Amino acid sequence: MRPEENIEKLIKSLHFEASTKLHNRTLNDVLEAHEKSKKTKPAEVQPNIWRKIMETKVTRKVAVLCCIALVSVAGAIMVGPSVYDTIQSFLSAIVGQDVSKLVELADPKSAIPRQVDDFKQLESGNELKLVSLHADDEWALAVTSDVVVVDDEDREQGPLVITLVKRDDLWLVTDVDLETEATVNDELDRFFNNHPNAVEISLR
Amino acid sequence: MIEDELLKWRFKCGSRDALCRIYEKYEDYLLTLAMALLNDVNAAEDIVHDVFVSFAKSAENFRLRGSLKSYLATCVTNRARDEIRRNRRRPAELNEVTLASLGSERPDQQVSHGEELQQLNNAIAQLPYEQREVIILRLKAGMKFREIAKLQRVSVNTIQGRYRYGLNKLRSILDGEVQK
Repeated sequence: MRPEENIEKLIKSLHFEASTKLHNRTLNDVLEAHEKSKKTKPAEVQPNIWRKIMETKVTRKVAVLCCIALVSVAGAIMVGPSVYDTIQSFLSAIVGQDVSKLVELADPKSAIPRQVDDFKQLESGNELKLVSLHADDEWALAVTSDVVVVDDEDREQGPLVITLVKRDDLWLVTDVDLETEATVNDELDRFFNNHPNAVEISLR
Repeated sequence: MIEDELLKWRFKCGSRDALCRIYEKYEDYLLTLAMALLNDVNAAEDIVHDVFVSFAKSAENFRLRGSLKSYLATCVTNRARDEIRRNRRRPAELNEVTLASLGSERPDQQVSHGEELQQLNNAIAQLPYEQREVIILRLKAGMKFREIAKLQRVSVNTIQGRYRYGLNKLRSILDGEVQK
């Protein structure tokens, strides 16, 4: 019988080399695609958009109206504190290991219902606090205080970044990621890029 | 690691040299991964080709905070999975095709030709795809169980189970071949 370790070593030693033909063909195509993407890139060299807007009275007025609309949307979101309630319930369910509650608050289309057992890897004694919450009318992103996750392999520490989505007027958790202090800002940046109308929800 | 971070940054800035370096650094690794997952030379080559072309096109919007190696491995895995779904390939058939093509049609392909490794390739192809993917990503791509769980959208325990079952099955397949 082959010991498992030998099989693991064998798999690690698998190696396949690309033929010169494949290497050259792919490299040519890759460089060509790279060049094309550079040529067709959107007008990055356009002058500052803000200056353009301020150039004429009409665009200035349109910009003001847009700002008013944005504030109105923000106000509308502030009316619905349910995203805050949802995330707080979810955090309580994580801390309390309340599997049924976690499943209830999770988006059934997401992987979370199948991953609830992973929350057991949170080191006991973790206190989960909500640090920030941003939302537009459909998506929300919550960041928690640091938690410690322990599994067979290692021990990781960092905040949880939780994504929520609104379906049929109900906020549901659709993704939970363990991040590091360094990567949280990337997540926030990405969220704001995808949801420019998102506003900060006050944490009561 | 630091080299990869620099490469990512230079690639995002539009550096052609960085793209070439990434390609040269990871081409064989990705090809090995695709081969282990699909056991089909042509399909593996196509996937590696497509992954790099898409990658090259993405330079403008490229934002990656994780490891470049894992990112490329994930791209290959996703495409391999699509390929499997699309063609509903049977491992046994694939294996025959691969071994035939390795032996004759593609003399320029260089595989580690040890008999043991060929047996291993053969055996891996007989595993259910999910188990194969876990084993290859864990051992060849060096990914953590947690990362694989996220990729396959199942729990870490399920992934660990697939890994164990896969290795056991692999062992019994190889033992069977030895006894023959």
